[in-house]
Amino acid sequence: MTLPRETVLDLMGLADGMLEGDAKAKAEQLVASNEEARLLVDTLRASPVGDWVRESTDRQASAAVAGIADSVMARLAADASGAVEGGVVRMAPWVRRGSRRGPAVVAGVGAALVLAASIALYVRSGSQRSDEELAPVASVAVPPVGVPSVALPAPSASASQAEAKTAAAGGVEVNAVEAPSRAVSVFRIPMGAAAAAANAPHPSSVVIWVEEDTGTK
Amino acid sequence: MAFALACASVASLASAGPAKSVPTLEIRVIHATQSDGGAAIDADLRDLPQLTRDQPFVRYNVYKLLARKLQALEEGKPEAYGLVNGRTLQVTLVDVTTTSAPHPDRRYHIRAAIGEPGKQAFLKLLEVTASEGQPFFVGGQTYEGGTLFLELVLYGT
Repeated sequence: MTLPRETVLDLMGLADGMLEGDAKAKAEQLVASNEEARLLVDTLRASPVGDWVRESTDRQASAAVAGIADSVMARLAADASGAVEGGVVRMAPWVRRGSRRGPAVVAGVGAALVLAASIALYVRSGSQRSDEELAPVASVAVPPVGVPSVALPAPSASASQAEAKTAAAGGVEVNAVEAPSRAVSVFRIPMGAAAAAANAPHPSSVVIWVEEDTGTK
Repeated sequence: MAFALACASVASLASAGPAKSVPTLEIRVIHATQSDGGAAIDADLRDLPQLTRDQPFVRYNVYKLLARKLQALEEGKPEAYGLVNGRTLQVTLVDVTTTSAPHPDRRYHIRAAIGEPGKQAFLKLLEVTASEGQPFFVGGQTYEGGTLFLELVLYGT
């Protein structure tokens, strides 16, 4: 699964206790409904890095900009092996859709660097392919079966645009999805016993699910 | 003289090489609904019972095959297919690649879109790379109390 970077920022803010109001409510709702969001928040809260981030935002951040970044990188590098399961999430740089940002996400220069470094390492923790780093949104190693492999939220701006690559081990690979103003999910599904019995080389498939606008059709 | 002509004919055939294969796209339009009257799956949807155990198929219990079409796809040539809801599915074969040994696998890179004249596209762009005979689905279009699943499969010739 992959969450947009902006959503990850909000979730990190939630984990750090920095979100308030609607942003907090939205983030909590996402955590309740999205497995990856829950995993991310749990990981950040359980991690010593999360504690450190929370402490850091209370201090005078500007005095320790360089040290913060180095320290976070070191701590996250040490923690990365357990932070995200088996390369499930790989995200790449993405052009932000809008200007909305959780008000407490950036509490100062130091905190911003902390968050940025955290995101970078969160992203890198599951990525082994440097050639995907320029993909617009995300590259995803798909969970085994039966769960949404990619959940692309409804856009706040004009279009939902994403590139997502499922695990490239044959079968079906989703390279790009663009559905203006609609939420898109990609489900990886097994083809089941029929395919297995037929010795199908790639006994799984994909459903690209595009939410219909209310009131149409 | 006859021998020379025969040789020329054979040489001509050899230089022409094998005929370029054109893959075939199979499109199946499946109408899925949720019914309190019990599950029912069209007999033509042979593989679907296996799929209905998983999301998003598990949301529905009645599946009916509405339409099926076979369409030859040439690289770079868009093919349009009218759907039952008035929208149009457009599919373009971008390229075909074959992975190397030990498990050679023909892979079809296709680009698809679903639109309706005068309205915002339902699906502006979908790019998928699929192995031969490997189905994938596009779901979510509401239709007559349920939803449409478009099943797409590519076959070689």
